[in-house]
Amino acid sequence: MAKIDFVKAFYRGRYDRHGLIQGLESLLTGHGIAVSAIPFSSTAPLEEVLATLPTGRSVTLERSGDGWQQYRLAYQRTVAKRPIRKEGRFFVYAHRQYANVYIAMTIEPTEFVSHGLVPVLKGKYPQIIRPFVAHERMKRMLVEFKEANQFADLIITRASQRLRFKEEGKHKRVMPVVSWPDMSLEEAFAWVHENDGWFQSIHFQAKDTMGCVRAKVSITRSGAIRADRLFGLAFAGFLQPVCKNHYENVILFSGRSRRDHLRLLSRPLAIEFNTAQFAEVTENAKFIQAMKKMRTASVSVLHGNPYINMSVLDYYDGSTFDVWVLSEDHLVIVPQMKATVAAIKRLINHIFDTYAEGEIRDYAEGTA
Amino acid sequence: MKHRDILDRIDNYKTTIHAILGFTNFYRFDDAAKTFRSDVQVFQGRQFEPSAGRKLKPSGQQVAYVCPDFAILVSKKEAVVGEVKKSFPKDQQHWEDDFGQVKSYDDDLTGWPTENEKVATHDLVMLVDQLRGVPVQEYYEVHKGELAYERTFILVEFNRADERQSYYHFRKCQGTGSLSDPRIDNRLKYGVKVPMEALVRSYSEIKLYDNEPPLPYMVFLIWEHVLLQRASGTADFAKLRKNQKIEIDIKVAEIVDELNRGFSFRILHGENCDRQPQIPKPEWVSRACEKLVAIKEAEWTDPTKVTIRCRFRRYDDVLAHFVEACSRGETPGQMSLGFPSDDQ
Repeated sequence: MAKIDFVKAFYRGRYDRHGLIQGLESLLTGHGIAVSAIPFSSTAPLEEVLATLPTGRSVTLERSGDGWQQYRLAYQRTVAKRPIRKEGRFFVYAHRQYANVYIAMTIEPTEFVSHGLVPVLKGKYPQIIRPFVAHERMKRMLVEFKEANQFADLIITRASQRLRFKEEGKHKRVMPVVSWPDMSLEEAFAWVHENDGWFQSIHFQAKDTMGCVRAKVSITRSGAIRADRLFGLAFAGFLQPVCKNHYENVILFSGRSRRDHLRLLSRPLAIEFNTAQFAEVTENAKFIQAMKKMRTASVSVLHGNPYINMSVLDYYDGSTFDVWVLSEDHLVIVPQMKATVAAIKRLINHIFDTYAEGEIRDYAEGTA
Repeated sequence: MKHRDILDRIDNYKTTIHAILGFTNFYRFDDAAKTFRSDVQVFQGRQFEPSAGRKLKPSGQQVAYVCPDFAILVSKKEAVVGEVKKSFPKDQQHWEDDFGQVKSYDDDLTGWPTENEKVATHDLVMLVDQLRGVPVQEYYEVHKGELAYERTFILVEFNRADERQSYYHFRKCQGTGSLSDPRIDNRLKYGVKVPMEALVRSYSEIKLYDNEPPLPYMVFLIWEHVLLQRASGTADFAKLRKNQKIEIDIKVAEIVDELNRGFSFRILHGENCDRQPQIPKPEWVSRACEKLVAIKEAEWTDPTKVTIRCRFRRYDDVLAHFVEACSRGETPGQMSLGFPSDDQ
């Protein structure tokens, strides 16, 4: 009697949005297959965006369903100095609630994700923008995921962290990257917080009250997840809030170019730190040092002490910003003639990654 | 000239703009309603015609216009005309010129946006850096007889200070007159703090006033706010590498127009642009373009120097690049800073 190939059958099935998530979960047995999901946004039609890729990569639309599309991605890798042709399939799920927000999902191995799918999406910046998950938000999502699904514990098995201001020798061998043996959430986040860092990715096991591992899940700073079981719960617990936050940010960052306004007025944003972040003058130097690390950008400091005024130019698309630090607990970003959503997101992302995280808000003159 | 000195000059230039915005804001902003008053108009560099008796200087030179740093018109009736002096020359002999400049505004000026282009009277204000406040006030005390201002003259000192917030502090100097608006006069008598953050939008939108900025700053503004916009509209921009360039042909007049529309006080002038000079002035932009040519970042496409071909490149710090490039090969004091006479 012939074995049923569930994967092949799955790729032939007809689904609505909800059915696609259920279908993906049905394939997960905890024995090898896992779903990888990468949220992103794009205002341009996806088929057009994905139509032109660098040599060696191609994406072909295979079929479409209600709110989703199935693509085949072919790419080339060099292994032991020999080019190897590879391919795999992925779905693009269009979020029903949040316009222009999508999730690329695949059950292909991690090799396909890291060498095929992610480079394609990254390579399409600034047309494709990926979210970012602030450190506190990531912690909150994990705690809520644990509580909402009544897991006894989430045990971090592997993580990759970044520490913002590495002083020679200070952080060496304190906690090797990618080595978090059986640490609880609270301990791990407390350690990273104390060392002024953030998690690039966290891999954890969700354990029930009997101590059984119900699923192995990972989440990254850009909101991508991978789950070997309970994909529906991971979708609801991580992807939904990430998509919501990303959508809200895209709305908040939209229409900020001065040239979009009849009188060329600016529409600034503020980052609130909720602490006296700039109370010490030495912080100015740290902030400037952090900003100078921004790649594919020009950062010019017009005034550095005691207040900060810098001009930031994004070489991806020509967006420009004035950045001001005039108060100890927040900074102000004033977009200039051109300021795209992608460039604003990249600038704020850079500040969060290299200096400190805060709350983003619309800035109204006179509210300070 | 050292880079630090150039950056200080740029900072002084910006401070003058901040002082104009800070002082005029006492009139523009309605503290009670927390909005800008629609009946207050603010002008920078507006061209006013002197009265018939003042159109000829004692030297015989014709005076077509006087252009104060700021002019404020409230409800088409009350008015203020003023000058900002961020730095005074060390030699007090030259201070006569600065007070003489204010004297030229002590006149029945024509050019207000009123029915007959005049106002009944106006206050005269001089804003000075607090560092020079006392000696300037003493100078005025000694010379007020010969200056003989007919209109009320008010000396206001200002300085930037930093506590939990950065702010500008404005205070009226004792011994000068009272502003016609008693509310503002009383506030300034005791000193007013204007948080910089309250005006951060305006600071970012207005980068030029009717005095020529330091040359490296002018080049920087052209590069970041005009040439970049042109370059980013080309197909090559997204893949531009550091060792590559994008050639952009642009007319001097186009640069002037784009900076004027986006980065001058024109934003505050609204419909009343008829007597406003075009800032930046074409000759400032031409000088900046000449500098770009001299440092091999551009070339003129025609002998009349109407159009320039710029080679746009990626720099990690555009301002630092042009401060360095503009000062390269110049001996101290040789580099043209294009600075107004009062900022020496």
